[in-house]
Amino acid sequence: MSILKIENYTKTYGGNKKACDNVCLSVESGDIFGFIGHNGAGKSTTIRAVVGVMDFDEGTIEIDGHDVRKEALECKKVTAYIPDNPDLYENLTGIQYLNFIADAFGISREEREEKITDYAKRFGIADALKSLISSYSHGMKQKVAIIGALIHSPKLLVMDEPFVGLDPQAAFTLKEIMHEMCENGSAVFFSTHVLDVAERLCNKIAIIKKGRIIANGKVEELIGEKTLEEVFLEAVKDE
Amino acid sequence: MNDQILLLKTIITSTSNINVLRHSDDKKKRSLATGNIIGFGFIYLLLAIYTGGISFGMSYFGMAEAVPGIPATIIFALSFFLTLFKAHGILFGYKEYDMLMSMPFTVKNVVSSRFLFMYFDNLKWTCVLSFSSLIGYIIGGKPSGLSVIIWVVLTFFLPVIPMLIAVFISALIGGIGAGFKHKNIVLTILTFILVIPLFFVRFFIEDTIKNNKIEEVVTGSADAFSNASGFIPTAKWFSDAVNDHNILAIILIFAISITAYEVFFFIFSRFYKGINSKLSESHTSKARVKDTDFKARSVVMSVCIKEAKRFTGSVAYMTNIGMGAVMSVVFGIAILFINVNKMISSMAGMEVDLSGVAAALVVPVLVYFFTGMVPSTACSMSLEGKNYWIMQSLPLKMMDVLKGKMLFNIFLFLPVGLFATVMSCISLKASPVEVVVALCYTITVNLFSTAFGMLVGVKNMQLDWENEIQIIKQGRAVASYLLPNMFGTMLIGGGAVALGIAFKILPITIGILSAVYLLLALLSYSKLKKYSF
Repeated sequence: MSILKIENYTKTYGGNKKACDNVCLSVESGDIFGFIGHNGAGKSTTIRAVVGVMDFDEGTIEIDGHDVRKEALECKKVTAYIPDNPDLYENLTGIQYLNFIADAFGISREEREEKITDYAKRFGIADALKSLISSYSHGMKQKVAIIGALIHSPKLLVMDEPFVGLDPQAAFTLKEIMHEMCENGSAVFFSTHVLDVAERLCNKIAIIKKGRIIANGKVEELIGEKTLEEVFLEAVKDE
Repeated sequence: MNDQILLLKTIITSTSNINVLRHSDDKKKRSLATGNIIGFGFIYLLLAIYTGGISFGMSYFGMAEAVPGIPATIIFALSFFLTLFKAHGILFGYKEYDMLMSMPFTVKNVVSSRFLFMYFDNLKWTCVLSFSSLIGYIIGGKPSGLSVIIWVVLTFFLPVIPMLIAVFISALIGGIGAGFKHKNIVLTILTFILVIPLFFVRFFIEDTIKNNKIEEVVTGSADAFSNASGFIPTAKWFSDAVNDHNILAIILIFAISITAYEVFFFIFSRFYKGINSKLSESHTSKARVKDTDFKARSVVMSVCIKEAKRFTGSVAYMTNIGMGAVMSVVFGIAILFINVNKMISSMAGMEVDLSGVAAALVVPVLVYFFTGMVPSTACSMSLEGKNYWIMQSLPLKMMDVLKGKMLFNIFLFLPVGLFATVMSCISLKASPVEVVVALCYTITVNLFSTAFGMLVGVKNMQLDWENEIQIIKQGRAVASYLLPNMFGTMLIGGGAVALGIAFKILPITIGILSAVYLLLALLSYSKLKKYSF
């Protein structure tokens, strides 16, 4: 079953410059889908359109069968998004922020307590939740943003460069959670520059270059005997 | 919990000093938050004493009917201007936009919660102003209980209409500017084009009144307000509601506030994401790097240029700080065509006869209200925000950084201040001595404003902010600069001018004043060295 379906998505800047051109891809239930490309290739522009943050010109994006433009709220209820550099409310404490997210998704007191306690423990920030976010390191903010994203058990987890700033233990925990989510029928769609992580973690990959998808499919079919790094560098090499 | 209330509660908590006091262990942060609360409490107290005193005086001397119009007029004007200058930053330039828009909130709830945040922020001083006036009115005028109830209830609706007008204008400017490549410059120019004429509306209104109904108009600030309230519908309705218990006036305030709110946000929410998407578009230049791009500069000049880029990169920074510079230029041009006696009388709120005195020396004192009201130095250190680490980690002397920032402020305000001064000297046919004194004054006040602004800017640096408007409009450094500078200028500058006009020794008093400002500038500058490392 398709959780995320992007068809002919096109985003134009300044009237004529196409940041994304006719992008098509599909993320199925249980997929860990890696989205890779150079800086400025169109990864974040696509991701921001998927999560309903940015308008776009042409095409359709559907999440769990709902159109992101026509049924924005339905889409957002089943999606979680972690931007590359999460800007959180600096003067809230970690727990105040997580309660805000839980309130937004209508999570019961018991459920939020269970989930926040569990995830905070797994990410090793249980002791810091009562402190102001402004006192956190980048990695700690990232962890709070991840917990906030997981709190409502999303069907689709969208992440932009999720491993930047995470310590090895937290990166491992996040990968573990991504697998757990997929086992439960959710899907993960994320951009990354860390190709060896993408190769080991993802079952599907799409490569975007200058706004166009130039490769898309199952990892083993795409790379064959090569490494993802070799395939990527070959694919994005300018003619 | 209702989504709108949830969003509002969160944004208020995340920007409140009380939350910092409750949860931070950082002593510096706690003391800064305490200072903020005490500082603003003191300002509100002064405001309450002032407005309460005026209301009591007017009521006591039989002008109670004019009293309700005063706070209503001030609330209309302040709500409009304060919202206009911060609306763009609050509606469009906030960091959590992506996070909020990706969550299951309707666009209308997100955008209206931003408006409500501004509303509650304004409500603090609105209540202080209105209720202190009410207390003066009750003591001096002995109104009926119903009048008091109407006053209290309607106070909460008074800021809504002017704020909605300001937000509508800001949204319109945002929508138009978003389509351009150089959005920040276009947005700033549009704001200036719109706001500058509004500054002259007051003079226009007064002029109209004086020309058409001169016999009916009694001079004095109280009457000026009561006349102005006739031009402002909400102030008129408020007066009618409180004085005459006019049901129609009450209904008009309620109905228009609520309907305008609902209609505006219903329409605006349809365009909001589109405007934000356009505003977040970045245009990368295809131009290749040239030899001249590698030009080496001194640290001070380099910091100055970086500050100029920071300035032109922010609509909020340009419109709020740059407004004084633009107004100086407008003033400098206007003075060539406008009767100076009339203009100064209008600004002073009373008839001023400048014949026989060196009038050209009065103008620089007035121009300083534009060029020295808030210098860029007062907020530039705080605006470094999360980028402050760059300054800290580079092998720079902090004094060089401060010098660079001060140099930018001098470049921003000194030329325009000198322009206005020279224009006034030409217009008023000043003698060579008067020209020299006027120029000296303009230079020394600029140096003072720059150095004093830098001093309070460094001492009250706030690096963790949600929105740059918090620093530019409501920052501790700006408040610490604004109050002593404003009152000091009004007292010392006003005193020197009054003394000079009375005894016809204006060149001497302004000359002495220049020396005082130079001394204060040097004192501030020498204190800055304490922060060098």
